[in-house]
Amino acid sequence: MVWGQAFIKVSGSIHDSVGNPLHHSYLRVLNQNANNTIHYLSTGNLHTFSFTIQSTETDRLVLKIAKTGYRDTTVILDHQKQVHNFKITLKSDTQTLPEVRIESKPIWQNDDTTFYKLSAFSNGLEKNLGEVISKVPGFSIIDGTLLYKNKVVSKILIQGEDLFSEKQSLLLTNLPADVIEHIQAMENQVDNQLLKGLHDGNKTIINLTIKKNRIRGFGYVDAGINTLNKYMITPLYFSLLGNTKIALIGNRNTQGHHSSITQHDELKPAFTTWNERWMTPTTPFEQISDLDNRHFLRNNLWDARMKINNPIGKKIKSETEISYLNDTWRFDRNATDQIQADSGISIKKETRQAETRPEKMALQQKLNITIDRKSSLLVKIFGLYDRTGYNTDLKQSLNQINDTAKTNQVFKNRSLLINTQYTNRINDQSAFQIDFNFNNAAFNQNNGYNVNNLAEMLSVDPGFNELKVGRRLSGTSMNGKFQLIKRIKGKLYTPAILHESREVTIKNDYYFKDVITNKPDSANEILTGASAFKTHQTEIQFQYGWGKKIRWNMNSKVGIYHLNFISPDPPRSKSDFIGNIGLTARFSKRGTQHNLIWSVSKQPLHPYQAYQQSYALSPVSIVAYFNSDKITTPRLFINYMLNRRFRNKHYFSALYNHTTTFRNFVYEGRLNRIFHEGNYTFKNKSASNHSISLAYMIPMKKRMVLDFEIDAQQYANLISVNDLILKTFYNQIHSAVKIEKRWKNKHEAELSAGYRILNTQLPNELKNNEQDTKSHQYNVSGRYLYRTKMNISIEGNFKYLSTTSFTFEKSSLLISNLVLHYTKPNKPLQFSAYFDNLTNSKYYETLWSAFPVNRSTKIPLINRNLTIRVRYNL
Amino acid sequence: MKTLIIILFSFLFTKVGNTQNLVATYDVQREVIGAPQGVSLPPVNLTGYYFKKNNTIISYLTADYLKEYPNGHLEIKELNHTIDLFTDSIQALFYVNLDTQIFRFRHQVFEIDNPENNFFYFDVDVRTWEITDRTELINGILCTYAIQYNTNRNIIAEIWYSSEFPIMPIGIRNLLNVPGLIVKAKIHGTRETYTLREFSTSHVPNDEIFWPKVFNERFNKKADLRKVK
Repeated sequence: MVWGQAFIKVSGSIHDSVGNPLHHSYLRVLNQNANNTIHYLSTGNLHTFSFTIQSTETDRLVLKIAKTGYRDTTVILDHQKQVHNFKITLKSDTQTLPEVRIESKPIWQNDDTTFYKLSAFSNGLEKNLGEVISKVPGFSIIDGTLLYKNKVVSKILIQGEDLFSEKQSLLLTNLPADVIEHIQAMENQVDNQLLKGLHDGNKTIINLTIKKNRIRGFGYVDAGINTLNKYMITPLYFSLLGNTKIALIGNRNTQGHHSSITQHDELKPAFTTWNERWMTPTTPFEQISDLDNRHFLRNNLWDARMKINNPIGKKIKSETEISYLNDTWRFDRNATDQIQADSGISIKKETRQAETRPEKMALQQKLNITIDRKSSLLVKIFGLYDRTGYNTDLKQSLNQINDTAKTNQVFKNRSLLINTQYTNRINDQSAFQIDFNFNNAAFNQNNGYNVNNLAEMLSVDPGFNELKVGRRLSGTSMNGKFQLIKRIKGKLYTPAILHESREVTIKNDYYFKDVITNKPDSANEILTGASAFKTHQTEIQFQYGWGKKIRWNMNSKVGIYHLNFISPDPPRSKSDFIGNIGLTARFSKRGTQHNLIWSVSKQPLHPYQAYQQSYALSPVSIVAYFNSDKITTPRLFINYMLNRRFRNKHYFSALYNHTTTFRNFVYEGRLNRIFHEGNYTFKNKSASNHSISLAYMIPMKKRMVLDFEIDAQQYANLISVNDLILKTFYNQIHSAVKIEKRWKNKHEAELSAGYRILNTQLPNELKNNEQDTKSHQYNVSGRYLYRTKMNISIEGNFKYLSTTSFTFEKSSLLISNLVLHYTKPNKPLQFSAYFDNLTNSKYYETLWSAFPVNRSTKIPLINRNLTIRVRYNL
Repeated sequence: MKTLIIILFSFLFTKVGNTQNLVATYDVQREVIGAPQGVSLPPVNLTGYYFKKNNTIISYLTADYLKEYPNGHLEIKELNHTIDLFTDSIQALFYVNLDTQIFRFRHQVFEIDNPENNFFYFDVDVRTWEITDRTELINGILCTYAIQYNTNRNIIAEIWYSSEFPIMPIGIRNLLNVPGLIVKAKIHGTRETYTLREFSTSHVPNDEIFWPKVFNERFNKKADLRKVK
């Protein structure tokens, strides 16, 4: 020991103003003579402290105690005393650092992975993944798709395992919430682990870690019945034990639950969906995004899914997935269309009863073959059989003349997809990948359409009274790609060559019977016939990534697109250059994350858009494209996203999107084969879409959170109508405020209010003072939850909606809902009772606008009912 | 006179250098390697000790996890799977003398039962840090984020350091050329995360600490880490 030095022992405890112990405090001993820190201690999980310091007599020492959210406290260490013992009281610093809703450490980050401890965000009453994940910051669900930081999540893994990982909607609505321990959001991921570390991926993958005591296997049986005699049974079981992983989900439901369109679509791999949409651009399903299915849908669902992951030896992992779905959907829709026509504004009213009967069977076999440590082969075979019936009963009136119509449609589809991908990691700095995709699909579509009183209704056009359509489409699509991925001095070079070819044959058989002559209508000739085309596309692609602080990535491609019409079409062909330059940048500066995407491209047009014949979008909606010697179209896209978390936990995000399409083809769009009395000929010139979304979240004191949201959209269209160039604008602003509060873990409340305005700005030539082009919608919704000591929780919800549509018609609606939950911790049985009540109106109104039509749609709602649901956890 | 000035300057310089004694303790979490695919295990806990006296530095880890797993076997009963952890109570022993530029170390390696003593000579500035403008408040201390890469551009370590406190020229696990006091560090090779629990500049460490008994065993010479001239 140096002469004149003494040991001083400092100990004590730290509390808040009411005597509660405080953990995670920081202590510093400062020597005021030298103005430096001679000792520092972080108390961690303890509220007590003890340490020894060495000092000389001349030192002037102070002890400073600090903790986030509390005011700093300083005490002087008397050099004469060798032992100090303090009871420190810290005062809450409410002005600068409010107490936030989340305690302990619910969120932490490791590189590109953010971990969320689910118990910090859950109230324990959420039944499925979708209900709980939407409460976690950064996550949102839009139309059954999970978004993280406004970006689509590409996979949801369970304990690292691919069990329905790409069927997000299925997992969101069925996977039990109470088995999840943590959510890991992994950004900038690559699909293939062999490429890890070589280049930044652009995918967001979610991994759910399961509670230790449930890894062996988890599941449940849900059963429910309501006073309308509708019922549901859902068994689910996931086994994650051992080498073979099994997942089973069944669903028998007549209550409108678990039958979203997204789930139907998810049956197919993305490549198949993309290829089929190339041939058949329409889907008969309709949905209402912001209204729970059970309020309007009558259904009859049988749904069974099974997935088995099993290793075959040491090098092959097999994944087998079998799906069967059979459903019947019924719902009604009343629509009022305000149509801008040459002769003025027409009002069209429509009552539609629609029934959809999908039946789908799918089998998918995936083999992940690890050839050696550096190379792997992925083989995917997918087969689908789909038979969907679609019936409508239609009552419609135009300018107060009434008519009825019936449509029946049968839609058959079989599809086969073979996908292979070979990856070879040559060394740390380079790899190559070879992809091959083959898809063959055939569609068979039959429609019957009958109307009764068309001649009287359409005084300007005798029209038709009977239509039969038979359409056969078959096509094959193949593509192959070779890609080299190379990193040189920290920069990424990714050249690739791609060739893609398609062949599609279409046979259309239309029969319109003229209402006056009782003979075939003249339109039959235009629409009936066979057509076939081939396309070839060869591209050289190049990716280049650079930068450390700002991660830049340039993605470019250039190639040739070749379109051939073949027999029985008159043979002819066209070629054009295609290309794309895309630039992405992401960087963080002072806690703010920036993401920018900019791209300009020249893309192939769909062959229908270069097609000389009219194309039927539906039996009565026909578009005639007129070729203008162009088979490609340019497009501009800009996306900028900013996320910032302030030190005081405020969270701000901004998103800007811009798309401009330059359609250098023209087409005549007849809105509807029946209602083409306006006789517009639309020539779409260009269209641009701007949208901006701002969100700000303020955690307030005493477990209160305040959210603000503003979204604004503007669509601008240049349209040539009867050779007159018109500019039309469609604006939408939506704003919402939400306040959320919890008291003592017993009460929870949420209140939100929103306002939406849609405005169509028409050019002067089309303005009509009698009609308003604006529509407004106000909504207020709330939720209150109270937990009793008896493991019973009572939850009340309400949603009030007031709408003034384009036609000055006003409607309002109040949906209220009372739920009783009984959940005892660690007991397998859970019980819920839901009581739905509707007042004010029997309809739910949605609004839509695109020149020349403004539309208000009213969906009739199902009456009040009481539903009992029981869950037994396995 | 000239000699006197040199002696005076040397004395002042040495005095400043010697006042920077440092004793620091870190909470260390080490990721568990060898879990079955898809199973995520919490990290195991260790405590990191760092001593600096004049120009001599030693750091090591004590394996707190051995209280929970005394024989080093981490069992996942549900999956009938066992992971073997290092059973040495003292691990990752690193010593440096800045005067002689000698680097001594003895750390655990998988598949080798008895760790060996090794040494080599080095230049302090053989590795540099990429210092960013990213700052973060960690345990009440405002820190700057920095990364160190090896020659192949693989990350050696990420640190959050404070220049408010005494500089530790050689950090925990003998990270070279550290720009300030390490408050948090992620060591990529060993998958360890260090978080500062306590430090003191008033304590003078005992000399015995700098030469543990295991250093009396034979040392193997390893390739020097010298800056390319």
